[in-house]
Amino acid sequence: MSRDAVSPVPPGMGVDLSVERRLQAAFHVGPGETVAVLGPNGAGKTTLIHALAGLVPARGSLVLDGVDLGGRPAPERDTGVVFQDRMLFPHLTVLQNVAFGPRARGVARRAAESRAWEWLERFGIEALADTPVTRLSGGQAQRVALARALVLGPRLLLLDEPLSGLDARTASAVRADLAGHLAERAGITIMSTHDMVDVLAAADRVLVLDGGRVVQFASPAELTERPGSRHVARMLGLNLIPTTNGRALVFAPGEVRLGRLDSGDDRTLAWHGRILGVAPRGTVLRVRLAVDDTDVEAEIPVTGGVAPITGDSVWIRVDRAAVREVAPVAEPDPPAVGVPRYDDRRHDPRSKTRLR
Amino acid sequence: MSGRELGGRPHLLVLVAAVTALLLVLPPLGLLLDTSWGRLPDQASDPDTLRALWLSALTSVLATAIAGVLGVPLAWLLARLAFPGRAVVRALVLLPLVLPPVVAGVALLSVFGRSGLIGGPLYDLAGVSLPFSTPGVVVAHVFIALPFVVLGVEGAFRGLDPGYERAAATLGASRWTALRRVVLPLVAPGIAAGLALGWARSLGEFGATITFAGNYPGTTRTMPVLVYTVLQDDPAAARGLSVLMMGAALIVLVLLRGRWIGGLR
Repeated sequence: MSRDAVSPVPPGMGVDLSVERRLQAAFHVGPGETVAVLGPNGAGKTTLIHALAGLVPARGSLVLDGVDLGGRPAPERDTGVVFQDRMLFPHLTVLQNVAFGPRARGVARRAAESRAWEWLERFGIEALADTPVTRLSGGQAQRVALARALVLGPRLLLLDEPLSGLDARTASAVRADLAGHLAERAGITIMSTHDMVDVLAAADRVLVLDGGRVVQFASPAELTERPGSRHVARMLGLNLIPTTNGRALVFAPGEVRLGRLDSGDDRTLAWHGRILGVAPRGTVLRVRLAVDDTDVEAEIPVTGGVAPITGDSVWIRVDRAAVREVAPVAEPDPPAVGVPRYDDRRHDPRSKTRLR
Repeated sequence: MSGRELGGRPHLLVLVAAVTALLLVLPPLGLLLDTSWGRLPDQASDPDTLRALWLSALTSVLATAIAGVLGVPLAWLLARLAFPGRAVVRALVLLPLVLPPVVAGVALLSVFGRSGLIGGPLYDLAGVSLPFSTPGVVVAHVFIALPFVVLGVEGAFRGLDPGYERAAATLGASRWTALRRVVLPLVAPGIAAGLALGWARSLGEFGATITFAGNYPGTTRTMPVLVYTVLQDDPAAARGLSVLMMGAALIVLVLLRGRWIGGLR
């Protein structure tokens, strides 16, 4: 994409980066946007975060509000990073950890610590100021890491799996904190996750990575409406059955009903499948089915007409009204194929996304 | 765990381990049993002994400090920077470890002797001659102790999660600031352990010292050299001196262990 010298610099962040053999990503983030980077383990989420922060050698460009940060070393990038394992300095207290950034930039100790103190107050952890970070709980450590990343007022905030390693209750508390803070924040935030809940809680848009490539870049609503691949559909908890015309049918697990016989009518779609596994979950049974090589998850009431047993051959039915047909769905590119398989520009003309 | 959970005790291993432990403990124990303790106070206050003790303490501490200053940067480089020939450099660093100390002394003579590669200009220009002098003892000790320091400290650097350096970098810390304020404090126990090993090696150094620096009372006759010298015509006295030296080394190690050497555990 050649940039016309006369045209004004687009606000926001333009990314076109490649990290050898691990990542190839080009996308544009609007000013103030929060982008969730979604993908399975090994998809390149951490590599993308590190490339944006300048922590791995990357080729290409990273333009933030008209300034090319691509060539700058990490200390000069003006980014705040919360690392996956948080990486709080174990030999320092909470306050010293948060004051580290200003200190490293030459602010005197007193001033640095009073700035750090403000952030501790903002996160409600000022009582922990003198605590060694090795004694913090997961949720406390996460807040300290966030305060440390934000104390310098970075224009770009990078969060690598911010809720990983937290128990469910702590995770939901931190998630709420984070969502509240991100809503207030003026700068761009990029947050990697493999959990759809995080995405829905905080993200304006979702960048789906797989195999080091961008599979889809869309709003959460768009994503549930038109998942760009089986992977995406699975991560969203949707069922997705490919059709012969290269399209696919998408429906939520809760819509599925099971039966012994094909008693279909005009208002339902029916497939023949085999039960792969059954797990009780409260008042529902979670059933895993194989239909035309596709795994389908179904939740059915315990009192349903069929008592499902692993290995059973059954018919599954879904109301036509609950099924959406989505357009060319494919597994993510095998490596070395540089052709877009799914181009979401067609669906969102405002999007400047380029896919490779 | 008693061992039963995993399918019975490994009898053979236990037997071999017991024999090994015995082999390690027996010689010092034998030394203690064979010592005429009545002579020890006299020996300990003998001026020759005191001079040798003082010289050993001085040279080993100096050598350890120098080996630390020289060794830590090299250890960091070996642990953190991928450069061509790193494997070769590491192998060369280990060379003094496998070199017989006498050979090390001969090699030092040919480099630092009055006609040596460095010793020649040093003598011609500055009038300094290292062989057969106290500084010579320190040079020999540094040479022998450095591999221990470098190996130990490199392990400590390697064991440190590079994530801490990354975190420091994103917070605006230059490499130097990160090293000073994050890396060094975190690897301090490892550095202390490396230095302790180097010091212990330096304290016991004999072959390179006597070859390169000789055996002059007061200037180059360290404790091990004194023990060797006395052994020639009074083995009983040599045993007493050995006990004294062992005691001094033990005391220092115990003191250090409490303070710094978490890394040795």
